[in-house]
Amino acid sequence: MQLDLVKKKFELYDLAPFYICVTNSAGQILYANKAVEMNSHNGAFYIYDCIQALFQKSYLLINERLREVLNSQKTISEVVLLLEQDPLLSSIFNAKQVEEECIVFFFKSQQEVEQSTVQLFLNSLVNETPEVVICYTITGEIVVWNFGAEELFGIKKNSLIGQKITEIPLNISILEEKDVVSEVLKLQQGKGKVIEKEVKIGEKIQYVKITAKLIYNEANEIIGVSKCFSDITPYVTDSQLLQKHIENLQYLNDIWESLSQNLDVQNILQIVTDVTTKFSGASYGAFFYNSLTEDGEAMKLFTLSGAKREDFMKLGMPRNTDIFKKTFNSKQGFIANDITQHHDFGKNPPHNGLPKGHLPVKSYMSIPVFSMAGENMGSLLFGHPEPGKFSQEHITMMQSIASQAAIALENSKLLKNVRTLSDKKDLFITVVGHELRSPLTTIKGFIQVLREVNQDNELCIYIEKVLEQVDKLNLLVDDLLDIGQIEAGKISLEKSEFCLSDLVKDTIETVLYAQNTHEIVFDNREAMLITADKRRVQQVLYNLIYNAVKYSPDADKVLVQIKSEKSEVIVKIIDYGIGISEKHIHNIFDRFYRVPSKKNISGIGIGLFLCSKIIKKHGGTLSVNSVLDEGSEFIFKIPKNTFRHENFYS
Amino acid sequence: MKIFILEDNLAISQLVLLLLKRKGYDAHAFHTINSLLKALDRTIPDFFVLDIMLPDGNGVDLAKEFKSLEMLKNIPILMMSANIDGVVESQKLHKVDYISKPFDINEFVDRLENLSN
Repeated sequence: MQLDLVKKKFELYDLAPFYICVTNSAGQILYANKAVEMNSHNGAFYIYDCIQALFQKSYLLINERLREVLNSQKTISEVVLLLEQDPLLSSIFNAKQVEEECIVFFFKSQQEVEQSTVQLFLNSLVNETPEVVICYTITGEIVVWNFGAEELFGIKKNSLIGQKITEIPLNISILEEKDVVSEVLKLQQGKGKVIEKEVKIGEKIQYVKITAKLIYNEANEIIGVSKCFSDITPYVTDSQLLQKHIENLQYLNDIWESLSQNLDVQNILQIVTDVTTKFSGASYGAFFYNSLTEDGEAMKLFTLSGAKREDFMKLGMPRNTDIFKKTFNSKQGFIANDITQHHDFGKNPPHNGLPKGHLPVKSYMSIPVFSMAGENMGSLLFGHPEPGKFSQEHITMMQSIASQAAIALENSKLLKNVRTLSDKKDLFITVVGHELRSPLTTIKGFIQVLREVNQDNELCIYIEKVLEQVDKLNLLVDDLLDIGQIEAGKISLEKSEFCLSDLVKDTIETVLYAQNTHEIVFDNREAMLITADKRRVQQVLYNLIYNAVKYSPDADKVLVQIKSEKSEVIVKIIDYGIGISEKHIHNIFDRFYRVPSKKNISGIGIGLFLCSKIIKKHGGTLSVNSVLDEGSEFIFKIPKNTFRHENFYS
Repeated sequence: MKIFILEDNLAISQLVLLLLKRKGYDAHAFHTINSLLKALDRTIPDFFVLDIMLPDGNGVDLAKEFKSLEMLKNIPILMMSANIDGVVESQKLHKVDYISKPFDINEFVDRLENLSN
């Protein structure tokens, strides 16, 4: 080819940003563009120089390669020349035999090669990734439509050539907005967007996360939109599962709480039946609980969920069939995918299977309920008309509920026992109290008669002593009976208006009459009218003042103070006695509670209990401040007019 | 004055008998409602002293019944009980009073005499 022709033909590449060099078949340079010129090793070459002249080193190697190229009739592509320090030729060249006597060499620098390799990898990545990647221009032309997209949308890339994104019929809408322009605007405001979407593909529900981004060119102009669709179905289903588990746990937690607060057997059984039926997905469930009748005869209580009681009542209790033996005697849970196919099913007459009128059962599960001591407390039974509804996982879950239920049931049993005992004790106290009244009446009466007929002065002293003790005994019996009344909520107040200071004075006299060891200081001389149950208030005063004397054996003084406030009166009884330690102070108002003490002080621990109940009943409060070994201060406050304040619930 | 005492506890009925006889009353003790009712067929007393818990019934109910009968309604009744329950109610009845056990013998006689006048 003529040199001029070549020059003219390749003139176009003079300023091209890549290296191009044309030789004749002998390898003599006919044309090289500016890029080659600038980068050849000595910066200058001549036309008809051999192409080797462009290279600084390794002539031999190059020669060989060149010879290969020159001798070949075909296009040689990608000859890699690894030449260090030679920007031009530490590269790859493509040689192309354009016409018979003319060979065009395209050189690529290392950087270009790298870039194109990255491009290659990227293309491959985009194409092969299971993610769905699509890109389109702002006019809607599809640029990228990878393998994932082909799979997801069921459309091959080839069939999309020349089509706009808005024109292709898709099972999932790609555009979030009505057209690409509005979408671009939206994305521009939000700098891209991530949305999660539930889509139906075929029969399957899938969840996809769509990440949309704008594509900019070098001039920072928006040229398109890229979208990546990731299948997040496993993630979503997992998190839904997790959510479900959390809800279950929350629910179970609520159940534990309600079980632990519930101490009624029937309630517990019902809660457990409802919960387990719900959790197992059974269409109905039953809890057969081994219980004893009043006469100690064995019986089964049962509760149902998901079925009417009448439906089961007419069937009677489960009989000792082969299936029920498994149900009621097994240590583990029992599952049958289809009980009607079980080898033990239908073997026992008269029903030989489900009795007539029984709700349909295929899936069957039973869970035994054991007490902490390992005693079989009963069984949970579940049924579903369809087969294969229960799994081992259900057993584990149901067992955990069953064990909680067992604890609740045991607590309920214990409580019942405690209540029975407590009722018996209350009854005992009341009966004893009443029984003591009759002999006391007689003793007191006859002693009084004796006092009247007695002429002997010495005997008179003894009679008084006996009467004194009888009265003391009588007060104790009164307190015992009061307890019974208070426990039964029967205490009633007989209210009248009276002067509290007078009552305090009277009470002090009574206490002194019983035990004249202390000076009881009471300075209030003013009248203080209140409306309350005089006898009960006196009972409180007596108890508190008498206690103050009793619990201060080494002191010689007790103070009683009363104060009138706006709508209430405050009474303080102060002693300098043994006091109460912090450890015991919270219990002192409990029934039969006695502070352990080295000093042997008699009492049965009901006085303060009664006082606090009586004060509460009046709508007031009773409190105590005390320091061990220094003394105590009991303070009660009651409204001046308790009619308005009576606490009916205490 | 004839007084009928209904009290199942022997010792108490003896005490009450003693107290009343010492005061010069014509007192008679009964231990069951039934025996008292039988005695009422023959004699009507001027005063009743009734216990409440009795083997064959309740003294409060008996008092109410007496008050509904023309023949007995004006006869005063003194109720004796170890238990205040139900007694308050009977106190609303005409000429009925109540004394709780154990009682002071002088108070017992005072109440009885107050009621009978």
